[in-house]
Amino acid sequence: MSALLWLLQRASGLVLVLLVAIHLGVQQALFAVPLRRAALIAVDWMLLAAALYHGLNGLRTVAYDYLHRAGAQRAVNWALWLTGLALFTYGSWGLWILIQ
Amino acid sequence: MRVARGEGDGEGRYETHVVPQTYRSTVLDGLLHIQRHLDRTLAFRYACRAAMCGTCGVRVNGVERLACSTHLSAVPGGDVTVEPLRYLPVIRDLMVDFEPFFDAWRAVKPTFMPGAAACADGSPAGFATIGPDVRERQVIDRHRECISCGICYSACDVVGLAPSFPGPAAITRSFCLIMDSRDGGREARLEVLDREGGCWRCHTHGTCSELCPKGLDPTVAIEEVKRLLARRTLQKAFGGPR
Amino acid sequence: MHRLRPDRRVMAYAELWPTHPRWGIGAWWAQRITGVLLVVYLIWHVVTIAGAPRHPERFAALLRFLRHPVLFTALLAALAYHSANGVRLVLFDLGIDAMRGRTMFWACLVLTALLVAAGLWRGVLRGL
Repeated sequence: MSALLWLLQRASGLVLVLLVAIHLGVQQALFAVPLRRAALIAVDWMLLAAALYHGLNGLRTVAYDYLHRAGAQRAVNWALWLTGLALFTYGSWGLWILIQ
Repeated sequence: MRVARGEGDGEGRYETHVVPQTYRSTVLDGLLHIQRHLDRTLAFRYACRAAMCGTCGVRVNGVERLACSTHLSAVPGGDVTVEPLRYLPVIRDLMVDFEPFFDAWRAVKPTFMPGAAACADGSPAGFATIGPDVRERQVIDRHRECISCGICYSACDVVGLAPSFPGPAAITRSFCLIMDSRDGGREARLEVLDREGGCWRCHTHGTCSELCPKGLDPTVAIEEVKRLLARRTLQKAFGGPR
Repeated sequence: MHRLRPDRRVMAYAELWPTHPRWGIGAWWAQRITGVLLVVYLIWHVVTIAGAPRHPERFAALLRFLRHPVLFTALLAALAYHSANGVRLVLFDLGIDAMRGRTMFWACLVLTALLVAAGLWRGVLRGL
């Protein structure tokens, strides 16, 4: 499990470098040609998932460095997963609104 | 030379002495001079005086070093502060209790466990034939000659943060045995290291490798363990080689 | 600054210079601090953008933040450093073993500076 989280942290980091570059580079074109707009919304959605995973997993690592009791670690784990899912849902809904 | 003094459970203090220095004087020479001529109560450890035994590990101006192989003339600034290694209970002055270090060592199963009958080159049981140019030999040789001086353990910030982290020396030792094709305890060792408090607490600061007096590279050894664990996890998840 | 990698010949003469190899730990602290700041910003960004239609004042606050020269530069610097150092770490993970050489870290700092410069130039061009 830890190994998978570690791998995904690296993978999501690399993916983020690319997606953030696109997001910062061309975000103003969001409201132009519909196909481009759909592609950019897809990019934004992937960015949302990758960024939330990478960021909250990073917080998990920091927390695990300072909290050593299994109970505290489990609590942080659950809290971060729930926060991540909640934010992903909210963000996806926001993107969905944008498509309408 | 400013030397840390005190019993382990009391308040520490620093005492300053002036010691003679020739072009070859080391920190250990300074400590011996203090003990022989200035203050016979100073407590410190040494043995071989040739950077082979790993007994005289101390912190010189905050940096972990072997006292016998640190020239006084090479310490920048002129004043030399000598303190005991970090994260190990101080017995007295510069002597520290290595039990926690060796507890961590024991926790990663550091002893050779004879494995199955086949040898690295597929020959039947008997004598294992592992030539000097075989990859596993080269990898292990890079990390093998640990003298358990405790310098990497003291230099590692994570050792101070996480009580369950075995430390660079222990993980490196475990890695050498994991890579040994004659050894049968690979899975057991990987299990121990694949815990949140195991190798995953390492954040690749690199200080352990920078300070190892034998030129070992625990940063890379721990990184290899992480890669092995990653491959192992993927294999378990998806089956088949990765 | 001497690299503290003793080879056997040097060990015989015991001529080692004590150094303070802090760049590894400094790099890690900076990665951690920028990471935490970026997560905080990320959550604010996601919540604000997603809730923009219903809370336009929050969206305006976010835009004010992004238009502030110092704050925007700080955010950009955090992002640039975290990315550059992250790439350095991934390269190390992939076996490009220059971790102990400070070269890779200096390259990472140079990259950070370039990214910040590029980002600021772009921001100025777009009238931020």
